Amino acid sequence: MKRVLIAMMLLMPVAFLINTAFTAMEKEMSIQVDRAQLRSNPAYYGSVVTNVNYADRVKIIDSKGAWVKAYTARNNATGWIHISALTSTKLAPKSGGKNAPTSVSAGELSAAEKGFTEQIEQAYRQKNKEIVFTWVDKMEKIKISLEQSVAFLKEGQVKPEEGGEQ
Amino acid sequence: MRRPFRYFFLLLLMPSLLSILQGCQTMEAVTKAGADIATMTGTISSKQAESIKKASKAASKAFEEFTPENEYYIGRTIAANILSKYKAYQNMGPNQYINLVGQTVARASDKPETFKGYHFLILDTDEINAFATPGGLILVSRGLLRCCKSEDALASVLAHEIGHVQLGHGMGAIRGSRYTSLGKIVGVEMAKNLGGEQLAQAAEIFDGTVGDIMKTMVDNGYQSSQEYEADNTAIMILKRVGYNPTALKEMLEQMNEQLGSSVGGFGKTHPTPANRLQNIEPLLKGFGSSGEPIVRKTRFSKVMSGI
Repeated sequence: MKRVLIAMMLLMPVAFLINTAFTAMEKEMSIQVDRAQLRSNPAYYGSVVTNVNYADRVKIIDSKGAWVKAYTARNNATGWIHISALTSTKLAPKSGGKNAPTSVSAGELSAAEKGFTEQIEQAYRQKNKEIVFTWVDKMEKIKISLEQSVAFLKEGQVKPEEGGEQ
Repeated sequence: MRRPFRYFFLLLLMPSLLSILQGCQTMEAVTKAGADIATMTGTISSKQAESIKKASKAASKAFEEFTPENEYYIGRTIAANILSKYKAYQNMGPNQYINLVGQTVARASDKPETFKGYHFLILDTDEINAFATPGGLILVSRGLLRCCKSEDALASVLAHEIGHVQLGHGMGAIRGSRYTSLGKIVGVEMAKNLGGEQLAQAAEIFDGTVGDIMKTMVDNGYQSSQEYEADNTAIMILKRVGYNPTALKEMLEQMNEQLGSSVGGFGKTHPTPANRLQNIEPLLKGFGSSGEPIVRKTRFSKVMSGI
């Protein structure tokens, strides 16, 4: 019994240390698309728990295939998000964006963030006045929500396979 | 006395052990996710990962260097260029409907999330053609839509174009030298916005980048192998959503009939429908012809009969 006690006393701090180390390494990622949703389950048509915005940091909890379970401090919510919405890089919130002010200084911006952006499009449009963006802007305004997609499939009797549960 | 104590000892350790195990799992997941994001901006299915890894150096470079936001701005400008060559079809009924089908289908792709999402627009031309720009702005001609005799067939055309976006075929057309030049400019500039000279230089590289993609997408077409890959991806997506993948076959058969009278477009830039049919045949085993429910047939013909 004495040996067990000693072993326990020795092991406890070790376990505690390893545990802390893993907690410290707990991974955060950034939302790299303008707007995305956390879902109730890892599925293409899974219902929305909450919205997240560009540059929001989320804590990674679990993963399943191409889906990641993440926690957002924004709405104190947890849900599943497709990996194509995430990046390991820290991003700077857009000025005027919902999550501004920024905690990332300009110097920390990646080259890509400064690369082809709205500023470059403006320069391009100045130089190429014959290229008109009117219909590009119009087509971007046609937005189909997740709820509309689900209703559309249901109405047309289109039944998604496993992983697409509604 | 000894036995209960041993259990107590294990109980004490249990939470720590569990969280260590959980930690390992999370770490593994994150490493996998991080690595995949780094190489391909967010497509993760192992098959796609493999095919992307096998793709040209330029393509993998594109995935590393450009963010979804960069892709979005490139895509917008390419769409604007195409819309300077072709007129938009202004009837909003069919445009809304192809967005209902297209955006719904895109959710089941391996790249459901792009910077500002997928959007579809009809080009007012008899030519059989379609363009999928990086970031997910997709333009489809009336001529091509006339090859679709059902909602499932329409879904197959749109899924093929979504396939090109998912596989990064547009971005893969960018010449490697563009990255090197862009890297040199933006690397030295510390502010969020580029200064005068750097801006002019970056704008010039942007011109070149748009030109590279336009040349491939509009003038020369993608490689045949990329068209086959997009067809294969379309079938995978159709199966996930619940549309009958045989509809792609039916659409290609229609296209084969109609291509005879069409000039330019798909006839010039795509492998023949016969070759595409041969490529998809093995993937359609077990799927019969698409007997669609009446409600789906009705809503399709109601909107698309005048196309």
